[in-house]
Order: sequence, then structure tokens, then C-alpha cells
Amino acid sequence: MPITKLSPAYLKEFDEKVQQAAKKFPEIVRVRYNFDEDWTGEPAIYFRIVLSDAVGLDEIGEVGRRIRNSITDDLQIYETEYFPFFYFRRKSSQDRVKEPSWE
Amino acid sequence: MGIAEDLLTLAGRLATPAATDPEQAWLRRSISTAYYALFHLLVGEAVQCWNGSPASRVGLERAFEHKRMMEVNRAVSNGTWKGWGTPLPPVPGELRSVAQTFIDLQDARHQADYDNARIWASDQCLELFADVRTAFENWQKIRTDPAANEYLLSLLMGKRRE
Repeated sequence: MPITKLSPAYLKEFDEKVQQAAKKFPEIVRVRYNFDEDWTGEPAIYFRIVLSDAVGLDEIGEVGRRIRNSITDDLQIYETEYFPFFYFRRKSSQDRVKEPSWE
Repeated sequence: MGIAEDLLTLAGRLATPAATDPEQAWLRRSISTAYYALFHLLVGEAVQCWNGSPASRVGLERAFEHKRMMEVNRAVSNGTWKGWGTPLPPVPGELRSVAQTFIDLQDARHQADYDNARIWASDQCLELFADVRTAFENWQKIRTDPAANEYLLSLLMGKRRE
């Protein structure tokens, strides 16, 4: 059943689940997200995940896949009408570019 | 090498700008170029199935639409893709992975090309580039799979008529 309205209660529960899912991964420094539309106009959730610098450059992809799978499963995102998009960067990169939406 | 492989090589170079290069411009072009590398890989594979003249293949390439391709890849990624055959051939994990990479890169490409408020990080771009490189490798593993053939048709035609 698609979720068509984001009630405060749903958002609170959603956030709790996001934070719980994130705790499974010591590589995660923080998770930021927002509900939006993608460029085609479809409902989307954008996750911005800051990883520890202990994650090697060649490990970001694999670590990211595990995180993506865990969060989409735990939050049952494919049961909603929102398609998930995941973006990853390491903390030292974010510290350098200081993009506000990742803070 | 074909245009897809050339674009992939260029994307890798653009993802590692020198200290004197305008970083954000390089990284944005890297993302966009990586997306188009994958786009042209798949479109090129699809039109090879058309047994017509080279000119007709070029014309057919222009029929592929980014939005339609996004919709098909979403369906493959989340398991709702129906394909064209009945029953649908088993969908290899590599194909799901290619679809997910297409989705990620198309979204990133749109932001990189049109959202100047975004700030890109080099490691982020290198990871996107690596994903596309892996998608190229995965595609080589499954390009003769029946599901891959139906996938290419879906990229052109969209959803199967019910």
C-alpha cells in the first residue's frame, strides 16, 4: 500500500528507523535525508551518508551497497511510493567541501 | 574502443582533477560523462540487435529516452519489471546491479548538470565512476542472457503492453 502522506507520526517513526539502521554500521558517521521528487517528478528519498575515513577509497562502493540494502530492507522503502537514492562521501571530504545539506 | 569505453576512460580522468584545475567543473563533467558512458553502452548494445544499415542504427539510437530508461531500470531494480517474454527469464543479479547503477548515475548526472547549489566531493565521484566501471564488467557477463536481451528491448519500448 503506497504511503501518500507524510504525517508527523510517520516521519518520527521513519527517522527512528533510519537511525536504528545506521547504528548497524560503524562506518557511518551520520545520515541525512530528505523527501523530494527526482528529476522525472517521481517521489524520492535522498539519503546523504557520511562515512568514516577508515573506509578506503576502493571500499566505498561495497560498504555503500551494504548500507543501501540494509536501510531499504529495514525501512521497507520499496513498500512506499518513494524511490531511494543514496549518496556517500567520507568525512574528510565533507569537512573540506562543507556542503550544508550533509552537515 | 567504442564511444562508451572512451567516455568511461574520460570520466575516470575527470574524477581526479589536479590542484590547479577547477575542481567542481571537473567533477560535474566526470559524473555526466560516466552516465553517458553507461547510456551509450546500453544503447549501443540494443541497436546491434537491429539488422539494418549503420544509418538506421544511428537513427534508432535517437529513439532511446532517458526518462523511459529510468522507469525500466527502476522496475528491474525493485523487482517489478515484467520484461516481454512469458514467463520472464530469471533476472541475473548482475542485471539488477547494472540497473541500479544506471538509476544512480542518471540522478547524479541531472544534479551535476543542473543544480549549481550542489558541491561534489572527489571520493564521491570516484565511487560513482567505479560503479559504472563495474556495470561495464557486469554487462559483459550477462549480455547474452535472455533477460538482458529483453531488458534492452524494454529500454527502447518501455513497459510491456498489458
